[in-house]
Order: sequence, then C-alpha cells, then structure tokens
Amino acid sequence: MGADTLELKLQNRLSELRRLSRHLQDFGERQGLPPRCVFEINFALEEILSNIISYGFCDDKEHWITVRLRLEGETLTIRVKDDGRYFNLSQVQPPEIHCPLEKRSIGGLGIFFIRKFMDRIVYERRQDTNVLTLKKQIRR
Amino acid sequence: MEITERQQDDILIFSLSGRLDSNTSPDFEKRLSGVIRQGTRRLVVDFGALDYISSAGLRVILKATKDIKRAEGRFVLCAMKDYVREVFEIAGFDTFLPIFTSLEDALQQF
Repeated sequence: MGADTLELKLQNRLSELRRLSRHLQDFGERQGLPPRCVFEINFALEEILSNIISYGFCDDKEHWITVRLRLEGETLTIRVKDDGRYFNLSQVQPPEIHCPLEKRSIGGLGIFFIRKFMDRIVYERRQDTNVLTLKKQIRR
Repeated sequence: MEITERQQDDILIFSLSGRLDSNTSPDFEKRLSGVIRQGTRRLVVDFGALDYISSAGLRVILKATKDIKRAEGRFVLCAMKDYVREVFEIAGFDTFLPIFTSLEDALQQF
C-alpha cells in the first residue's frame, strides 16, 4: 500500500464505523488534509456505509465492504464496494429542507450531504456488486 | 462520546464531547427524551468539545426539538466547531433552532 492510498475492509456492523473514522483521521494527518475536509469525507462515508450496513443485506450473514481512498495531486477518489442489494444512490430524491419544523424529516438528508461534500458520484452495478466512486477536490 | 449533565436553576445543560454518530446517538436520544419526559422545558446542548456529528446525530437533535416544542419549552445549542455548525446550516436546522457561539450567550436567552 502506497502512502497515498488507504484500503479498508469493513464488516457489516455499525461498530466498524469507528474503525473507519480512526483510519480516516490517520490518513488525513499523513496527507496533511485540512480538518474540515477530513470531517466532510468522514460524514459522507459514514452515511454511505451506515446505509449499506443497515439496509443493504437481506440475510444475517457476515459481509465485507471495501473502502479505498486514493489521493492523486489534489483529487481524492473514494471507492466503496459491497455485495448487498442494488442501491443506486444517485436516484434518491433530495429532501425538502425549506419547510417548517413540523414537516421536517431526516429522510434523505444523508444523501443530500453526500452530494454537498463530494464533487462527483458515480454508481455502477457490476454483477452482484455495488461500486460507488466518489471524487472530491481538496481545497487547502 | 461523553455526556455531562448539569442543572442550573431550571435550565438543563448537556455537554457533549467526542463523536455524536450512529454508535452514540441512541444513547443520547434516550437521555434527551428521558429529561423531557421528566419535565425539563429549558434545555441547552453544549457542543464545545464535540468533534464530529453524523446525520444520526442530527436526527436525534431534530426529534428533541420537536418534543420540546410540543411541550412548549425551549431548546438551544451552543459552542459548535465551525464545520459542525456548517452541517446544521446545510441541513437548514438553524432556521428553527437557535445556535449560540458560547454557553454564556445561550444561558442568557432564558
């Protein structure tokens, strides 16, 4: 593994998100990424992974989700692969965020943030695997 | 995440440190709904030592906001790190939830 790449295999358990964030912190420090940027990456990845872990699998079996981050110049590419059911993030409708409190719900908000914090989102279904590729320009 | 609770006159202050995420949110949700059920109507959450919030954390805050409003109480937040505050602003929560820069400012609102 080169210094500019982070590759993790996470089990389909929410407690794995803690391990993910520790690795992201280390990666951020190693690469000298701004704390805000590390926060945004962590937020987006936690959304994606908690979605996969909570809703992606129809059985009670153990599954592995691979997360890979690669920094080339100022472009960060993140790839998340899982063998859960088909889920195309790009098709989810954004939430209504300008309505009064009583009508506010949290549904869809996670995806709204992923779009806000990432510059590009590409979804592919390859055989039985979801492959999500995200790109983020690092602004220092 | 560590949750510290302090009662000052009729104001209850929760101070959070660490991470409010999908692992720690259920616990905080229980604490919040517990104190509201027991009659707390003036509630402050101090984010001063909070390093991270996820949308699971936002969900807990949204629920408490609705519960307190229904009970005709008042709920304010304070002392957020700038990127945590930004999450509240992006979500539009700052339109119905007062966010103060310091705990002193927050306490003066009651």
